[in-house]
Order: sequence, then C-alpha cells, then structure tokens
Amino acid sequence: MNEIIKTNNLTKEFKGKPVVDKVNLSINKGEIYGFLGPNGAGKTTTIRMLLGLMKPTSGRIELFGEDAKANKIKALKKIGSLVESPSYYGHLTARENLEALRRILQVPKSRIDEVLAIVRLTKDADRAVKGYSLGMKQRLGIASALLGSPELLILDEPTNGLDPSGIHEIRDLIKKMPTEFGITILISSHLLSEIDQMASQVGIISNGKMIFQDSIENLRSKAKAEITVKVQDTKKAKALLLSKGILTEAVEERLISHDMSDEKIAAMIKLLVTGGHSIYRVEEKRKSIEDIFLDLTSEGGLKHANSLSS
Amino acid sequence: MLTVFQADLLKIKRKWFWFLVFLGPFGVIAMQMVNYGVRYDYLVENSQNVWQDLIANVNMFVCPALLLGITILASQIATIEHQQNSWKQLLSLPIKRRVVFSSKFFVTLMMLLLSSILLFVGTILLGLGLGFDSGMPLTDILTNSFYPLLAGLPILALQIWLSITIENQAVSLSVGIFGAVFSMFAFYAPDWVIWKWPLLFGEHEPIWYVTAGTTLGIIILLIGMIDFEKRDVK
Repeated sequence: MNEIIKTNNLTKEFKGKPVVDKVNLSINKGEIYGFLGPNGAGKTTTIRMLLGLMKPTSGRIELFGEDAKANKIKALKKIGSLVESPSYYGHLTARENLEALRRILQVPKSRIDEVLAIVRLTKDADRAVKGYSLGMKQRLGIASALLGSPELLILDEPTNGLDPSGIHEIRDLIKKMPTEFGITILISSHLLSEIDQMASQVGIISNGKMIFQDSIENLRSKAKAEITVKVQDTKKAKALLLSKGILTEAVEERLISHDMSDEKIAAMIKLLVTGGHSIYRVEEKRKSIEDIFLDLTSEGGLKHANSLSS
Repeated sequence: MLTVFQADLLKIKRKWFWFLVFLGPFGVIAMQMVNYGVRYDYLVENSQNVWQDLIANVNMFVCPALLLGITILASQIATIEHQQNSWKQLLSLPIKRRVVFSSKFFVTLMMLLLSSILLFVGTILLGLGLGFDSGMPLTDILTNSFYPLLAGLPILALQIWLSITIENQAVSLSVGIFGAVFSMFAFYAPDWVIWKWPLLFGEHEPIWYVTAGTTLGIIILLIGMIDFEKRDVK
C-alpha cells in the first residue's frame, strides 16, 4: 500500500456546473503533496470530498488502498484534517477543545499534552480560545488534526491570514512531520512560494481541472532561461542570424532565443559584432516558478499566449 | 454514541445551558407563587380539591415554557457547532453522522428531563408551602411534570433538525416561538396540531398524547438523521 490517496475522475457539480472536473489525484506515502490552484479552483471542494464532507457527483476515491465510500469511518480514523479556517469552540480552553475531540477519538489523555507541546501551546492551554490570535488558533487546529495520531494529514490553506513569522512557524512544523512522525501530508495553497518550500510533489488545479501533477523538481525544470539581446536594428540582425542558422524571435525591439549553450551565445554575439550591429544589452532572463504557475493557471488562451511570448 | 454524548456535554460548559434548565421550571412555579400570593383566598377557599387546582394552574404555563425551552436549547446546541463552522471538523472525525445528530437530540432531551424533575419538585414544594397537606396526588403531579415533555418530543425533534440544518437560527427560533405562543391559545385546536399536544387537552386521554408524541418524535428524529447524512457540509 504505497498510494495513500488516489482519485479516479473525481467530479463534483454544483447546479450542473462542474467545480471539480475529473480530477485524478495520486499521493504516495511519506510525501508532502502541494495542492495548488487559484482561489475557487476546486481545492477545498476536492478536500471536502476526500474527507467525506461532500459526496462526489461521480468518480471514485481510494484512501489507504480501499474504497473511501465503503470504509469511511475506518479511513477517517487515520486522517487528521484542518479545512480552511480553524474550527474551535471559543468559550472553551484549548485543553477543553482537544478534550472534546479526544472523547470521540478515544486516545489516551496524555496525547493532549503531546500535541499541545508539538504546536507549542502548552503555556496557553488553559485560556479560552476566543482570546487567541489567529496564529494560535491555527496551531490549535493543527494540534486537533494531530490528536488522533493520523497517518495522513490534510491541511487546507493552513497559513491563510497568518503573518510571516506565523507562516514560518507552521511551515517548519509541517516540514518535520514526514521525517519525525512518518505522516503523509496533503497541503493546499494558492501561493506557490509556500508550497515550493515544503512540497515534494505538486498538483496544480485550475477551474476544476488538474493541469499538472509531478514532482516539484520537474516543475522547476520548466523554468528555462532565455537570452534577450537588444540591438540597433532588430530586423536586420534577425535576418543575419537566420542566414547563419540561428533562430530568434523578435519581440519589442529585442531578440529572444531559448535553449542556448554558452558557445552558441558567444558565436551569436560574435556574428552580430562582425556584422556591424551595435549591441546595447545582453540579458539572461530566467522564468520564475511563479511565472510558470501563472502560465499554467491563467484563464483563457490569450493570456497564456501573451505570457509565453513576453 | 456515549463518547459523542460526553463530548457534547463538555461543549455546553459556560454557555448558560444549566441556567436555562433551571429557569424554565422556576419561572413556571414563580408565576403560580404570584398567582396564589395575589388571590389566595379566591383560589383556595372556593376549591374542591386544592392539589388538583394547583396542578391545573401549573399546567397552564408548562406548555409554552416547555416549547420555548425546546426552541432555545435546540438552537443553542446547534449554534455551538455553527459558530466557528465546527461541523467540518466534527464530521471529519471517525464517527457516523447519525450519531452526531442524535447526540444533540439526546443531550437536549436530558436537559429537559432535568427541568421536568425540577418542575415536579417545585410543584410539591409550592403545594406544601401553600399549606396543602392532605392527599397529595403524587401520580398526578408526576404526570403533569413529565407527560408534556413526552408529548412534545415531535417539537424537540423538529427544532433540533431545523436548528442544525439551517444555519440561520432566525428560522428555527421563529418557528419555535410561534409554536409556543400558539400553544397558549390552542386548547380547542384540532388534535393533529402537534404544538398543542403538550397541553394534554383535547378529544383524547392524556396518555394518547404521550404515545402519539413519543412515536412521532422518533419518526421525525429518524427523518432528520437521514436528511443530515445526505447533506454536503460547507
């Protein structure tokens, strides 16, 4: 049993409109899986279906290698979750909040102190939660998710609305989970930078459709460099290079070439210089992973085309 | 089931639930204290059977107080989960949804039973306080204290269902308060009107309302459970 989560053409429609459209998720044991997508792309709906909070319109979910519908309770025993904003009972203390969950999960009382220590809330455990800061509430949410010693942790936007230090703290906490506790993690976010620093696998969803699912390295490798050369006369320069077999694109008075080795660049520049062209600038532009994400998720072909050619 | 029930008991801490449980019967008895205080002579001296009259007087306020109590408690217990949208967390736990739903029903029922016990004790204390000593009709006082609750079970199941499935509590509160006010003037309403059942007054014997109430209460509870299982949680 290596595949912890596997969905097959998972679809959810609201009033006939697909919000999640034939999504095939595949998450292996021990991974931190980053589930990315702009707001409203269908991340939370997918996660709610995984947790059995919503029923799929069609498609299948397998959790821990078994059909999720038939083994819901069994699967939920091994899952800890934090969906969107943290759920808590404001009039109770952190300890009482966890106790209310512990009674249902039936884990030993000592587990409460353990999870409080993990999220570093031991000191504030006996204060009413309504007086907590957002970061503390979020940490309590993670503590609740960890309470049942889960094998799979599903975190939906766990850093939403936190300040940088809070984000940092949560990120460190999440990063150590697979190594220290052997937990598989599914974490969703609309911020690539956040996933980039934690995840080993990435899935990108846009308008309900899965548009990318691979390792983070493969996503990074899409970030190829391009060389931009600004010359006095773009048209002539382009023609000259073309006659010698070097293909470039002319965009906004600049020549752009992709996939160039150092030697080729040197040859190209030599050619331009000996051909009498004044070279104003030679720049290397590396596409950030953020650009790729935007390319992949941007709506409509036009924007896609524009961002690729610029 | 027991584990969810215990968790629910913990969640109602510091939420004034127990105060309401006490306030209901205390209010009903206090009204009669005033009633007897103001016109003791009229009520006692013209009476054939002081205890039966006391029971009848208490009964007048039991029904609206009970229906109001049901409405408020059901709404409050659902609000605990609505407030920070804790449903998603609660229902992601390894428990069946119908257990979650019925636990809310039984916690509220337990609190109402406690109110009924307080009403029972209160009625006796009031009678003794007014100096009625001979021939205390214990069975009739028991009947008057517990039958209305059993006859009102359909309302409890309905209010729990409304409060849990409709997040906007204005809906369940409106329905419940309307029912409570209506019940005060419903002595001559037809017997199929469930809001008058706790009055135990109509074409049938009191025991009929208890049987019908318990049966219909269980049916509505089951329908609510099935409906709750099918719902998508936001």
